[in-house]
Amino acid sequence: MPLSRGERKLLPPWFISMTDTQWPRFEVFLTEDEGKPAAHVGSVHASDPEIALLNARDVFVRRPQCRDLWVAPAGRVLFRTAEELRSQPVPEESNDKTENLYLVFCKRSHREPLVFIGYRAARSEKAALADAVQEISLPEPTLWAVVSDQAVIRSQAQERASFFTPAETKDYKQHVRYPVARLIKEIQGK
Amino acid sequence: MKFGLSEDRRQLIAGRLLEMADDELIVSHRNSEWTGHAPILEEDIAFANIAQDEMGHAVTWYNALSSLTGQDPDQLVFFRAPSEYRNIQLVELPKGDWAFSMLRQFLFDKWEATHLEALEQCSFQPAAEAACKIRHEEKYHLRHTRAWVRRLALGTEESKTRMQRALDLLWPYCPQLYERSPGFHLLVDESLMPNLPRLAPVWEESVRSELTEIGLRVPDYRSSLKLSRDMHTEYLPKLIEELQQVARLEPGVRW
Repeated sequence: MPLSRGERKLLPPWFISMTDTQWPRFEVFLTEDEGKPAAHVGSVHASDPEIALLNARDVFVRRPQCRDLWVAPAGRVLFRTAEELRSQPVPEESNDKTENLYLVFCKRSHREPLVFIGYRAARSEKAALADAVQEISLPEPTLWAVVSDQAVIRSQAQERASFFTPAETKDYKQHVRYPVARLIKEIQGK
Repeated sequence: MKFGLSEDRRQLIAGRLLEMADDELIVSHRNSEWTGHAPILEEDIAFANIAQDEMGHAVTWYNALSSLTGQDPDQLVFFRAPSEYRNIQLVELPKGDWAFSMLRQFLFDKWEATHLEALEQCSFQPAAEAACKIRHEEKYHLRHTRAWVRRLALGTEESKTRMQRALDLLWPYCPQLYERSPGFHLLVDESLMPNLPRLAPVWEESVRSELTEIGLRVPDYRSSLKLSRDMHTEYLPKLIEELQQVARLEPGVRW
């Protein structure tokens, strides 16, 4: 059983490091095809960013359709639900830091995935979020995510042939090859 | 005269395809033994994926062989005695610890990279075309196993010790990668297959420089052990028994 956030606060740090044997978590974003936005597909554990990218490929690109893969350390991705934003609006930060580039993701409804909507230059991730929230108000998105461009590790275009193309030619990786739906109908019909 | 080959050449090529297929099949089986036992879930999936890819490559070579001789790949895999297998001993050694399996796959991937590149240039078209396709996937395997070999060699005292131990154990078996079977030189003379001994120093220098760079001691000898492909270790029969168990329960059954 993983410790809840409340439990963690009660325990000394040395205890957490002794019991938490998991490697750091990385969020994974996948672009299926040209013209489609990168979508959040899940997360992987990895010892470091390079292994995270490789693990993301093996866990999420077993089936074809992938052009591009991004990973980012989970701790660097700011997630905010619509409820959180309503109860705790993002503060307007006005410190004099220089602007950085952020990637903004948004989930427009419960049926849609969390997808990349664009880059924002801002003084912080919260400022980038505040900026994006103002821009897209209707319909109200259910979830937002913001991550610094510097925290994102991307697959390289020249790696496409070895990373993604092989999966396309493996018909055993394509669900249409397996007559599951037909078999279920047959069984149900008996 | 299939593919414009004489009967004699056809037999020799079929023999070489069987060697290549058996190498892939056995390394795939050994890697698949990690499924459910790898250090973390993600790596479990990744290594099972690599095992499945190698199985796919074995199928490619068995099919190419089948188109030459008409032999059924399933018969070859499930109804041959261990002594009839033609894989090298490097791939049949037990999976050992994680360092051992990663380093074995790395050494094998490095060989595949060198061998497939040369195979792509050879004049036996079915093999050249398949090599071209497989090579891309092998680039990914190499990236994966290299990432692990580097991290273990540069990691803790223990991981480094285990990696060195794995290298010392595996090194004597490596020359079999480029050992020629009888008659193979005839295929090389006609550019039907790559010149294996000529690839040996390419592989060795590249492996040496990568492993030395991360602080491993590569043995300075090249093993003089002459191993022919019909010689196997005591570990192969057990592996084959497990591999064939289900198929032999009811031969001829349709899946």
